[in-house]
Amino acid sequence: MYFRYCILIVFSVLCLTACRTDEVIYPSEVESVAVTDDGSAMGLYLLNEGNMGSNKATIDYLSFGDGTYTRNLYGERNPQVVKELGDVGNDLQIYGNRLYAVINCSHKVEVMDLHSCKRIGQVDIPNCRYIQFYEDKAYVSAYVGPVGIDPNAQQGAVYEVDTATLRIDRKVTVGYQPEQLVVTKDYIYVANSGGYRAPDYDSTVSVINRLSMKQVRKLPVAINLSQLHQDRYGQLWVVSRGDNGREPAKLFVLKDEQVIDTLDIQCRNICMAGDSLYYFGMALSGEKTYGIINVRTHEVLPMEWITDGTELQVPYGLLVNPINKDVYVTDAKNYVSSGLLLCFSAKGELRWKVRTGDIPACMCLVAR
Amino acid sequence: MFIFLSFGKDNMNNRFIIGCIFSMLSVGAWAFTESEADSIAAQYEMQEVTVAARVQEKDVITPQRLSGTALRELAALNVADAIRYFSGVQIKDYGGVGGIKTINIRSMGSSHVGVYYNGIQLGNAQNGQVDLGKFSLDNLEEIDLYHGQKSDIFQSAREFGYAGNIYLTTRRPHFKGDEKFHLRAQVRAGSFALLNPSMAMDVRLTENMSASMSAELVSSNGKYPFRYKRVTPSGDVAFDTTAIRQNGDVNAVRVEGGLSHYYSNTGFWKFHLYHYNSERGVPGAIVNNVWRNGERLWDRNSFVQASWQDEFFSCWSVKINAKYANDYTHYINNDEKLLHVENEYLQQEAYFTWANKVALFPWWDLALAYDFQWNSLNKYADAQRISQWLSLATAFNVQNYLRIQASVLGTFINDKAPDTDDRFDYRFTPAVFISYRPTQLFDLRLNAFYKHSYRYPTFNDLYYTDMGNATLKPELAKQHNAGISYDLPFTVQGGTKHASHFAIGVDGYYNKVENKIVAYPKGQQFRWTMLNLGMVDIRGVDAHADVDLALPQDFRLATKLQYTWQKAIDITNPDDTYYRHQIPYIPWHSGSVAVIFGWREYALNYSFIYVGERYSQQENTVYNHVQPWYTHDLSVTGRWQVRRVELHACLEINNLLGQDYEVILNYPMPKQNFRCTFGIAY
Repeated sequence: MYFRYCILIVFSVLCLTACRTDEVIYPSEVESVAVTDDGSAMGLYLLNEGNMGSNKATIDYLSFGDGTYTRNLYGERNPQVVKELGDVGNDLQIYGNRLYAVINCSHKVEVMDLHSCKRIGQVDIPNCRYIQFYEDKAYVSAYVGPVGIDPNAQQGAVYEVDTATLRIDRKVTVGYQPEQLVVTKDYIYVANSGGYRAPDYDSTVSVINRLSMKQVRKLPVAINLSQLHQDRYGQLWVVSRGDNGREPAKLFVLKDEQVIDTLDIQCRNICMAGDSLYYFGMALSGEKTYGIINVRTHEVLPMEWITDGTELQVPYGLLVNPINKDVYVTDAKNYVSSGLLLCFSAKGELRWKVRTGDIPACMCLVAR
Repeated sequence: MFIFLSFGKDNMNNRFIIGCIFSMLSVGAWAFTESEADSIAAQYEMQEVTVAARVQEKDVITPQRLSGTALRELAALNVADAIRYFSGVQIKDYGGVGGIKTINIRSMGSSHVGVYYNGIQLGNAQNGQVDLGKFSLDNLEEIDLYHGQKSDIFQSAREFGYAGNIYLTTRRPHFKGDEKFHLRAQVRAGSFALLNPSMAMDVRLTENMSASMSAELVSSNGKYPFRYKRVTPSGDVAFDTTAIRQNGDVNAVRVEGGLSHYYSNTGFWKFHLYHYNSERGVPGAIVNNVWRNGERLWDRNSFVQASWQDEFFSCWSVKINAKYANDYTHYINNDEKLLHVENEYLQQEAYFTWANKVALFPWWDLALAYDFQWNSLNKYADAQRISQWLSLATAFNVQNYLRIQASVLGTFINDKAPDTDDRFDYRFTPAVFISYRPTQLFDLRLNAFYKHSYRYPTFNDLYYTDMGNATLKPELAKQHNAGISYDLPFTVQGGTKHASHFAIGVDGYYNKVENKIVAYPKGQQFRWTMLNLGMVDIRGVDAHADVDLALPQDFRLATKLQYTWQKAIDITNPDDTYYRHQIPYIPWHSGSVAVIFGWREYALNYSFIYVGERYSQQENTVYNHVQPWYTHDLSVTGRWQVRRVELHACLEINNLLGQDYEVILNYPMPKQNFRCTFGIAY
C-alpha cells in the first residue's frame, strides 16, 4: 500500500502548487537613492526599451525632491491600458506639460501627462523611432514609408503630428531607416542609417522643408548615421556608426549643409550641454572612452567625464544636466536583464547608481 | 487540500477515500514504461511478419514509451502533444496547430536532443531545432524517450552523441494469416476549422515483402479566441480583452511510402520516402497595439532513407543506414508596419552509417560504428559541414543481476564557409550505464549513469550575418543520474490473468552545461554575438507511477502519473544580477496525470497537465514571472468490428475549463477546443 501513499503525495503536491491566481498588473517598485536636491531639476524620467517581443517597455521616474526611484511607473498609473506601455521603447521627450514616448514595435507614440504619467492618448505611427517638436507640432521619424516599386528597398518617413489633436497632419518620404532628427524653423534634418540594408547602408542626412513637408536635399555624410544634434552655433553633429567593426564609427560636423569637420572618435552616443558635447565611445579593441568636445573649437577636452575608474558593461543612454553638469548614463548590461542608471558629478565621480528596467535607453529631465 | 483534510477520520472512512482517489487515478491502459505484453492492447495488435532482432529481456536504460493502444487512445494531435506525458521534458509551444513546438530534456536545451524517425536522425544544421508539431501521430506506432542513450548498443555512432534521444517509429505493416491488403482512412475535424484527413495502405507483395503508403492533410485557420485579463492589486479589473488569434493558419501535406523485406530470420532491408510541404502564418507575439502579424513561412522537407540489417555466424550483426534530405524554407514578412523581408534557405543532408555488433559471449557484446554526414546551407547563407563519428561500445549482462553499458564516441567536424577559415574540431565523449537487480524474486532495479555530450554550434551560431562567431567551441553537457524502479505484474480477482501491472520509478540527476552558447552583446556597435558564455547547474528529480488494472467483466483502468522537479540555475558569473537564478522557462514543478477507464473497445480518457511557475528571462523578478498553467483534457474513444472492417471514433475536449494561459510569454494558447475523429480500417 506504500505506493498508494506515494501517488497521493505526488498528486497532492501537484494540487497544492497548482494554484493559479488572477494575473495582477505589474506593480511599481520604489527604491531610495541618495540624491542631493540642488533645485536644478524636479525629476528624471527614464524609458527602458525591453526586449523585442517581450512587451516590457517601461518608464521609471526619479524624484530629486525625496530621492525615490520608481520602477515601472506607467503600469501603475495606467492599469486600464491593455498590455501596458508596449514593445521596445525607443525615444522619450518632454514638450510642454506632456511626456511623449516613442514605442517602436508597438507602432505608436504614447502621450502622457508630464506630472502624473497618466495616459492622454496615442498616435499610431508604424515603426516609429525618434521624436522632436517645433511650434506645437511633433515630428516623428519612422522606418517604414510608403512601399515603393522594389519591396526590398522601402524608404522611411517623417510624420508631422498636431500635438493638440494628436492626429497626423502630413508625412514625407526620406532615406532608408531614418533615426534622430533636428527640427528648426525652416528645415527638418534627419539622419538616414540604412541599418537594415547592411552593407549597403544609407549615408545621407535628409533636409526637409518644414513648411511644405517636402524633402529638398540629401546631404552625403557617411554610412550608417544615427544620432543627430544641433548646437547653439547652428552646427549639426551627426554620428556615423560605421560597419560593425569593419569600418570605425566617426563623428561629423555640418554647417550650412556642408561637412566642415570629421572627428575620429568611435562614438556611440552623444548629448549636447551648452558648449560641450558629451559622448561615450568604444574602440575596436573594446576600450571605452567617456569624453567631452568643445563644440566651438571641435577639440576634445583632456578630462573624461568618468574619472573614478567606474566600469560600465554596455554604456547605452546618456544625458547631461545642463545646470549642474551632472552626467546620467545607463548601463544596458547584457540586454536581457535589468540595467543600471548611474550619475557622475561634474568632477567625474560616481554620485549614485540604481537598478532600472531592461535596456535603460532614453532619459529626460523634468524642469522645476 | 481535501486529500489531507480527509486523513484524520476513522479507518473505514479513510480507506474509502483513499480507495476512491486511487481508483480515480488508476485508469488507462497504455504501456508507458516497459510493461509486460498488455493483453488488452494485444487484442488490436496484429502479429508482425517476422521479428528480426532478438528481443532483449530488459533494458539497461529504461525508456519512457508510448505505443499501440495508448498512443491511439491518447488525445494528442502530434508528437509534441504526446511527449507532454513524459517526465523530465519541457515543451516550448507557440500555440495553435501551426505553432512551433520544440522539446528540451532535463533543461539542457533543445539542441541536446536527438530526434530519430525510423532510426535515422532528423537534422537541422541551420538552427538545431526540430519542430515536433510537424509530426502527426496518425502514422506512428511508437514513441520512445531515452535519457542518456538507447539501451541497445547496436546503434549508429551519432546516437551516442546526444544527452537525450527521442525515437519515432512509424506503423509497421501487420498481416495475419493470408491477408494481403490493409487500408485505413480517417478524418479528423475540430475547432479553428481544423480538417485532417489521412489514409494509409499496406500491401503484402510476397510472403515477407510488404509496401506501405500513407498520406495526410492538415489544415486549420488558427483563429482561436484568447483573453488577457489583469486585475489591480486591490482586485478590481484593470483590463479584460478577448481577441482572435490572427495569421495562425496552416496548410500541410505529408506523403510517405515504405518498402520492407524480411528475407530471413535475421536479415531485412527497408526503404522509406518522406515528403512534407506546408504553408503557415507566423502568428507572432501579442504586444500592446499589435494584434496581428504578417510573417509567412513555407516549409518543404523531403527525405529518402534506406536500411539493411543482418546477422552472420550467429554473433556478428551488421546494420547499414543511408539518408538524403532536402529541406527548403521560404520566409516573407508582409507586415506593412515592418520592413519587407524575404529569405530562402536550402538545406541538404547526406548521411551514411555502418554499425556492427559482435556477441563475444552470451553475456558480453561489443559494438563499433562509423557515421558520415554532409550538410549544406544555401541561398540566404552558404556553409558546409562534414561530420564523422566513430563509436565503440560494450555491454555486459552478469547473470541478469548486473548490466553494464559503456561507450566512447569520437566526433570530428569540418566546416567550410565563405570569408571564414575552415574549422576543424574533434572531441571524445564517454558514457557509462549500470543497472543492478539485487534479486530475481521481484523486479527491483537500481540504475545509474554518467555521460558527456557535446552540442556543436549550428550554422546560425557560427555564420549568421554579423552575429555568428566562427570561433565558438561546442557546448558540453555532463550528466549524472541515479534511480530506482520497481515493477510488479499481478492479477485482479476476476480480471484477466497477469494483465494488471504496477510500476514506480524515481530518478535523481545532476547535470552541468558548460560553455553554453548564448547571444551576448559584443559591445561593438550595439551588435550581438554568439559566445561560449554560460554555465548552468541542473538538479532534478523525475518520478513516475503507472498502474494498469484488468478488472472483472472486461473493465480496465490505467493510470499514468509523472512528476518532475527541477532546479536549473545560471552559475556563469557571481556579478550577474541573475546569478543562481532559475534559467528561463524551466518550471520548478511540472507533472501530469492521465487516466483511462475502459470497457472492451470503449475508453474514457482524462488527462491533466501541470506546468508550474517559471520566469521568462534570466532574472527572477516580478516583471519576468510567468504563472503556472494546467489543462484538463477529456476524450472518449470507441471501436467496432463489422466483419473484417473496423470502425473507430473519438471525441476530444481539450483545455476543458478554458484556461487562458501562455507557454511562451505573449504567445496565447487556445482556450477550450474540440476535435472529433472518425476512421475506418480494413
